[in-house]
Amino acid sequence: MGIWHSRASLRLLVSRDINQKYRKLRLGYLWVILEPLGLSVTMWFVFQVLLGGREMGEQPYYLFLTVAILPWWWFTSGISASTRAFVGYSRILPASVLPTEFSVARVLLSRTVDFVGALPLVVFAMLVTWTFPGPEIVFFPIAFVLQFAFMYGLSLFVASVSAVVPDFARIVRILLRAAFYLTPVLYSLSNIPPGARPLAAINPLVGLLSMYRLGWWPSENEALITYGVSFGVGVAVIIIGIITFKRLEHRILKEA
Amino acid sequence: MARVHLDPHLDHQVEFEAVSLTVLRAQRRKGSGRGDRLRRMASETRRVAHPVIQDVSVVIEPGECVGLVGRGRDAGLIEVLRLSAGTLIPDEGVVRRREAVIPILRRVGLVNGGLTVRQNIYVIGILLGMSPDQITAELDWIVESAGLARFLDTYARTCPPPLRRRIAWTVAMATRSRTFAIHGALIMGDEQYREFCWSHVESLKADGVTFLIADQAPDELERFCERGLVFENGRLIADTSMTEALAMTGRRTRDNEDDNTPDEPDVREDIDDW
Repeated sequence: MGIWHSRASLRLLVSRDINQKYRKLRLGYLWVILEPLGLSVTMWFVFQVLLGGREMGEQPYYLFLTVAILPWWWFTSGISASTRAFVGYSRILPASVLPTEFSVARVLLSRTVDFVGALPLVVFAMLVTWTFPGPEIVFFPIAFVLQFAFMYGLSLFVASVSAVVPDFARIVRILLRAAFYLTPVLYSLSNIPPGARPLAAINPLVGLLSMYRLGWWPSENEALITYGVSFGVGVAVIIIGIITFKRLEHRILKEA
Repeated sequence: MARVHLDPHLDHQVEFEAVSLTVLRAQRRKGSGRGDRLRRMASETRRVAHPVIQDVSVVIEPGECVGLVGRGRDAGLIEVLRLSAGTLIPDEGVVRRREAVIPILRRVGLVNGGLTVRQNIYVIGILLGMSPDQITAELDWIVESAGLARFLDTYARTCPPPLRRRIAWTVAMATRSRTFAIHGALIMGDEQYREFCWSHVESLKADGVTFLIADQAPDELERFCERGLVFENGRLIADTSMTEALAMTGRRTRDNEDDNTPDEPDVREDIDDW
């Protein structure tokens, strides 16, 4: 595939993008960590300190939140950035001989680098709460790879449709906000009534976030059916993304 | 999934076979009904299919230098060049090419003021399909022939405009491609810059490189191109000698073209923070 063939070029472009994104900021690359840190501390304060009486999630809650909020932050910032993957590069698409999907990979990879850069926050949360994972932590990197593949498919879909229908970017913003509350980021899957769990698993992020958390809370382990459904939907999304992109590619180029 | 397919066994350099292309263009709503008037007030536009290229079949042989001229507005020259480079996909018909075609388009801001000149060279090179190693190998040549040595590690926005303009052109030349599709890049800027570009065209042409040039510099087109293609409303209406083609469009020399000289791009045009 074209992208793998020119991975050296992709690496260079992504490093330029990241460099440019943080160059003007006084705190520079520190923002990779500061942004999700602010988010997790806010959520922890609201849902544990202010509304602390509720039975929500697992203990220690701060770690529980951090482990899920980083992948969530990666997901939401990656998908909302992908709405501009083709629109934002419309000036260079007509003059570039690179494969069209290059710009999607470029946007997604620069967010992925942000995510990896923010991972020390998990270590920080583990030290603060003095809780360390068991052998099930091996699912953490697996979840990472699966989420990357899922996001690539979804980004392709979102980027292609937003290039053709400008309104789609706003719809995506609303959907992402709704998805935040519909996904067990703040709570755990066990807070959902058992009957509704297979239904919740239609959201591929449910399976993914459970996998991220397995290392610390093996009891969170869900029935295989949950993972099966999540995985199946994820694969379907990837396939739909690729097909949508292929069918819209000529229109994306015309809009550029 | 690459959109540009190369066919090394093709007999011609570039081949258009019954190519048609339609784009949707926004059009003001017409009509006098209340609904139409309201929508006009809300500046809602209707997207109307507009045929840009209609049934073009043409063959470009290796080593040819072909000038493309348009009659009237919307002749579709830029689309022909983008189709040949593969940055547009035809709705009907096929475009075949033997080797990669490098597009050099005027209105595309490739130089990013927020990056240094060196970084710009790498980014533009990558967009034109070079690998980072290839660019490193060509870097000395690029810097030397564009005269960028003093500015290599300064931000592109501080680089004087005449030099900045040379960056994209020189990098495109450094791709060592055997085919170029050029639109308007040869007319922007000062006399010195134009000379600089045309001298490249001249020496590469002697080397057997194929050029497709859509430009508004009739003197140079006549000097460098043997073959001329005349387009009108997206149709190929003539495939003749360059002199003939220029005569058909009524642009013989630069002197009588003064009234519709292409808008000289202002200094900041080719700089854009994408």
